[in-house]
Amino acid sequence: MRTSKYVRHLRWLTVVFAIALLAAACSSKSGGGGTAATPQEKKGGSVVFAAEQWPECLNPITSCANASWLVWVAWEHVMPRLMQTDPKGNFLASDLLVEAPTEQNGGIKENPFTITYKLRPEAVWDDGSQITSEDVKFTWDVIMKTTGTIGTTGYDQIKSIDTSDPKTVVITFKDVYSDWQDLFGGNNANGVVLKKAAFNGKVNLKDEMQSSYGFSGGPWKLQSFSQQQSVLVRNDKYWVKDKIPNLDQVTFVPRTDQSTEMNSLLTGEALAAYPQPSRGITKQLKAPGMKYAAGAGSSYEGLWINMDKFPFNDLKAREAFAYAMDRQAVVDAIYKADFPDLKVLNCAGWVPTVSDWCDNTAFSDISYQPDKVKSLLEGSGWSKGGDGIYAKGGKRFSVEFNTTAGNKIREDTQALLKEKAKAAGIELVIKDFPPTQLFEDKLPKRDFTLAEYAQVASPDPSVTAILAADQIPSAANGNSGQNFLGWRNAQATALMKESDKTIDHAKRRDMIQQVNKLERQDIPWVPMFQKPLLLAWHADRLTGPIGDYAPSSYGGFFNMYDWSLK
Amino acid sequence: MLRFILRRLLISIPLLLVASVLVFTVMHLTTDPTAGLRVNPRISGADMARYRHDLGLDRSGAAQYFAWLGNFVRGNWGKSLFTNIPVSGQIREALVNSMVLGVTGFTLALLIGVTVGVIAAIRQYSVFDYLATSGAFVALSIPVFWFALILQLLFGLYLVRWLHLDQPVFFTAGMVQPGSLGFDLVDRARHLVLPAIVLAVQLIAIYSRYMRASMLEVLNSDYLRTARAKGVRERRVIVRHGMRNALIPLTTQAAIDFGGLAGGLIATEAIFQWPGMGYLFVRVMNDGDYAIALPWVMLTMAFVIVFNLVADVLYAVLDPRIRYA
Repeated sequence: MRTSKYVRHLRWLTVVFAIALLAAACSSKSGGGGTAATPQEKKGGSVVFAAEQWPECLNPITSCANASWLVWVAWEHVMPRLMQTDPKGNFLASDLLVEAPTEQNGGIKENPFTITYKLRPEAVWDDGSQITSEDVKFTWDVIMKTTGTIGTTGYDQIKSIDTSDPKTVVITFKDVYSDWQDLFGGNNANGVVLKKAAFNGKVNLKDEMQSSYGFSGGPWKLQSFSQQQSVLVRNDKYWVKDKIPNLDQVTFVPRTDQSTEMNSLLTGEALAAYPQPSRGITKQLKAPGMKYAAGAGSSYEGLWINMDKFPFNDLKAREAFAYAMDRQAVVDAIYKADFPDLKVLNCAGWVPTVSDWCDNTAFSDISYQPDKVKSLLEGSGWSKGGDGIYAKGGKRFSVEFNTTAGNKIREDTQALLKEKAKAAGIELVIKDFPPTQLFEDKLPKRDFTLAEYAQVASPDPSVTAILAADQIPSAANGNSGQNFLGWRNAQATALMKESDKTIDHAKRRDMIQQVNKLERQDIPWVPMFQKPLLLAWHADRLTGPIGDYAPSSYGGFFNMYDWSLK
Repeated sequence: MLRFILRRLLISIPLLLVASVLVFTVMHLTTDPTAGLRVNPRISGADMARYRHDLGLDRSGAAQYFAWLGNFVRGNWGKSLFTNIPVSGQIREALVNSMVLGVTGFTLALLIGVTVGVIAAIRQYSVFDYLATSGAFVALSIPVFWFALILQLLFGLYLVRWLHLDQPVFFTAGMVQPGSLGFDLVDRARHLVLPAIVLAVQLIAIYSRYMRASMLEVLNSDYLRTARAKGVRERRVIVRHGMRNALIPLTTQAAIDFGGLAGGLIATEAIFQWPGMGYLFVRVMNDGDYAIALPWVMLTMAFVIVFNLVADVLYAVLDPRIRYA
């Protein structure tokens, strides 16, 4: 009897064991933390990233929107947009669109100039409600009617927006507007689509979105925002399934002192940071487990000339000056150690890494050539004084050279250029100002002779605002306009304006390159180099296509939906 | 005494007004709230003009100042030029954060500084006294920002490595653990320690020197000799008779220092990312946001004036020989 009881128990045990083996063989891989995408990646987890600047508020319509970091720590992860750019600055359809409007697909029509966007049927807000053409029209109303709106340029060219089809946006313009891709998207500070239903009929949003959004149409949702952190969590309702974030939560924290930011990164408090490149920064990042990706960004440094001030009111003097500026030495001595791929820029208003407007040849003949300086100046009546500086009519070739005070890298650049210029017979007298004084007072009033500062190259190549002849600030026009150089070239101005109305990319490129050549001819300024951008991260903890957007105007964190913990 | 207090308070009103005019004038001449927008090529001249009009910046400086003053005296602190967020809320939050840090560091400084000073005085020329003196000079010589960065590296990086810790014992930046919501006292305390130490170090040096000098003067006084002669125990002599009198000059100095805390601790707050009054001040000065800067100045000046008055009154309270007309 005992034996049969034993055998019965053994049988049951055998059956149970077999079932267990079968279950184990058939089960899928799953762990407590979610499914592992690859052997190294892990779904889920929370990370902290450091932000070198911090937005004052979240409103993407008013002045807070002018802060790049508002975009990078908040709205670009949360707000949908119509068109966007790839890492190389080429426009393409965002996730909200079925496809980019083109003339071929009927999305772009002329007479009247009309752009038709088809929204994806599956595009929804985080509460599941549809993103519709009404949201786009609402956004237009908001931009035009909000007190303190940051900019209506382009939006004021819209005549009407047809929303009869909820998933089709038909925008009719007053005239051809070539920068249409930057409206409700692109690289515009207020290039967003807002959720109409979130604002209870209000269109003046000056008091809204100060510290929260309340809705999301992006891969992330903004859980909370304060002066201490911006917390983003996964938006599971995002309609592009392979862009639903791998991470559960990303927290941005302000670390506005660069030493503190570096410490935050090195101690592991922050797993990634997007610091302003400074001398020696890459040495600090050579720590175990750290990696960084650097690339030429969309902003470029230049030497900007006031063409109405002596000696720059003479073309030969400007040309001689250009040949006295050792741009290569600046790149080699100051930047090469940290950014070995950095090159001198030879386009005057565009950069080779943003679309194809710049072929980097226009200023390629400008290099440091003291002999050329000599032949140009002596050929136009200048003679070298006993102090080694050229003079003409009793006036020395001595130029006050301004830049932003307290910027160490620029101060080093000035010192190097001054030394080289002196060897060529030109004197640079360095006098720096606080940024607000330089940009608010000296430049708009054209109270400068030579200044070093940066501009931004946009995927839309228009430079009309900074170089057209009718954009020269003066007392008569209340110092409005940004052509501080005073460049008055009628042919170039006409080309710029025609280009602003040209949709055909190839034709536009030709016009832009003609403007570039005219700039080389007149030398209203001298391009120096593209400013490098750098993303640093803990490669021993994070994995994914990190660094792909490091040089982009969208910032290095743009594709963090694709990042994972190891 | 009451007349003295009232007179001091009345004199402070024109002082506050003069300070606000000076700060506004400096900001108006040297900063531009729209400077950041000017270099944005997407913002046209028309946009800029409209923006300036919306913010009231197209009015004269005097008109802007008096508009602000009129609202301020009616208790309306207005809104930030940039964010439209009410100023009072921002300043309140920053003030609370600065006070938390300031009071903690200050309390630490008083406790340690007084103790070190008393012991150094009692054991004059001992090893402790020499160490305290040298330590005070070193602490006074250390740049605040350098010390703060060293503490960050020590606690954030090296101790974690050497002791194989999962996380630092004391956190190196911010007020809360990133990603956390709600209030966690332990977490807040761990974030508070390092900035409080940085604040306290120099105050400890100053107060210990003050206390030592003051105690030395008092220790040799007649009334202490009398107390000892009457058989009072030494500890009671030191604490009840000596320290009490030696604390008078330190108390008044501490009251003045406390009043200065409302202005925040710019370097410490910047390095530890502590969102206090100093941090706020740097931000608004850079932005040219006078809507926040002016109430900030009025509040910090009021603190200084009030605590200077407190110092004077305390002096009279603690030392009966002092009387104000």
